[in-house]
Amino acid sequence: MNRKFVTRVISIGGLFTLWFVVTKYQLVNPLFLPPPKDVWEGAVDLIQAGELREHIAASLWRMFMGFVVGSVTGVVIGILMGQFRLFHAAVGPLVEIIRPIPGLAWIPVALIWFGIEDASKVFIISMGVFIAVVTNTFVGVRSLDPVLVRAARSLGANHRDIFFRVVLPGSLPYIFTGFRLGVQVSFALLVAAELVGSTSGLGFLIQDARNYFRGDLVILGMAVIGALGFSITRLVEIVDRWLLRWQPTSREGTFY
Amino acid sequence: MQTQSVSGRLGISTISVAGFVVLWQLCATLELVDPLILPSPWMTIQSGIRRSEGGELLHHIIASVVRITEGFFLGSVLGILIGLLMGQVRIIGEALEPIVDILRQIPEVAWIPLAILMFQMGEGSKVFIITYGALFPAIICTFDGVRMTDPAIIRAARSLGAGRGQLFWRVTLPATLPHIMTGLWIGLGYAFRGLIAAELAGAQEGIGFMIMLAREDNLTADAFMGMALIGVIGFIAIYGLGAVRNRVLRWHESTQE
Repeated sequence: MNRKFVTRVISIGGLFTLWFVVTKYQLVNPLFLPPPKDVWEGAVDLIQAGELREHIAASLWRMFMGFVVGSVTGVVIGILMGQFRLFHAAVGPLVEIIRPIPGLAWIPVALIWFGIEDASKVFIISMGVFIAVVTNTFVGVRSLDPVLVRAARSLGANHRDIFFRVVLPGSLPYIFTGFRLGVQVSFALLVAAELVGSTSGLGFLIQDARNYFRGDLVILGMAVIGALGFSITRLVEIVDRWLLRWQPTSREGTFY
Repeated sequence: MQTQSVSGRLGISTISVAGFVVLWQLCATLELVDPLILPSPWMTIQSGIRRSEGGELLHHIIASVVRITEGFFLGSVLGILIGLLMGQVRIIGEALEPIVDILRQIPEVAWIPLAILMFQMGEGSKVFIITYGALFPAIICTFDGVRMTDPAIIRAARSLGAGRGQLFWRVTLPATLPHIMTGLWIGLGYAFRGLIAAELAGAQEGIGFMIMLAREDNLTADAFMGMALIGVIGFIAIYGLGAVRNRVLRWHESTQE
């Protein structure tokens, strides 16, 4: 029982007590701050009906698909940009034009293009992931020590060897930074896209609950979103650290 | 590959962008793609001109800029104050850290429905979302900055006779400033995201509202124009903050290049 743990318990316990007291005496409008009991009961209802699981599954599926599309295109284009100056000169400016546009601003256009179903969300997530991955992959390939490439070449490695044994492993740390940043960014994008136009998913859950003035379900949904976002980020960090355990130095990402 | 000159590459970039625009325009002119799906560059520009008449576009731009300014300012100031307090007073830091850790896991966009319940559709809900976005990076970076101040410098200042006030103003605050600027930098991104999302989800004015309305009316050209505008405004905001940072941190090694 160290000091940190104790203060943590007291602090969070205090927050819940405050919530309990404030709602008991109705110091805050119960419309948007319902008592803890209501949120709990709402959670039990939603779980028993299987609804919560469906919304979580819908969100996670979109997230996964968007991540696959965005990261594959990002890695391929990023490597091509890093390896071939001509390709970089041609495609780089187009990427630079898209980059300052936040992923969220694509939502209306994505809804026009792909409708209200999964495809529009997958597009938006892949957009967010793509920008993060393409930038970091490119930086990774470019910041590779040229001595390594020359050494490999003088030791008789051909183009394919150099790519798979030197360039790719060398830029992996950057690529993973891109993945991590992409996941962090795109989770909020997903929630926003589901809020604005969707018929399922966690963003839809809280927006729908608001339409019916169910403050309890809004707070529940927010808690699930927070927990899920945290778990996803943590998972990516763990995978990242495990895959790159051979790499000693700490890394920083370039996002802007 | 190595022999290619800089001007040669610049030429390729120009040709690439120009070619892209021409191709894009051709798609529309030759009616290869439905303009409702992909309006031509010219249609996008025209939509901008049309919306500018009567000051409509300016009205939306001002609404968004005012919101982000209010929210970002409020969130940053609050965040820096809370962060400093947490860093300076140990008990406050320990009490608030777990709560900050929990709240920052919830992205600002997830607060939109609750904010609308709290403030209805009014300005309050938008400013709340933007403030929330800017708040947590400011708190966390400021708090980290205070804690990471080199204890040797603090001891040195103290042994040279600095009082509590002097220690704060002359040592802790300057040492924290680079961290604070990082917090503002990250916070600006979140605040901007919050602005767009809040305007998309429910507003009566602003650029986010404009592109959402364009979607309902199937005016894709308007949506494109709005997106470009959002990109430009975001770019200006980031550039502006960068300029502020370079000025505030003139003395710091990170700006000496």
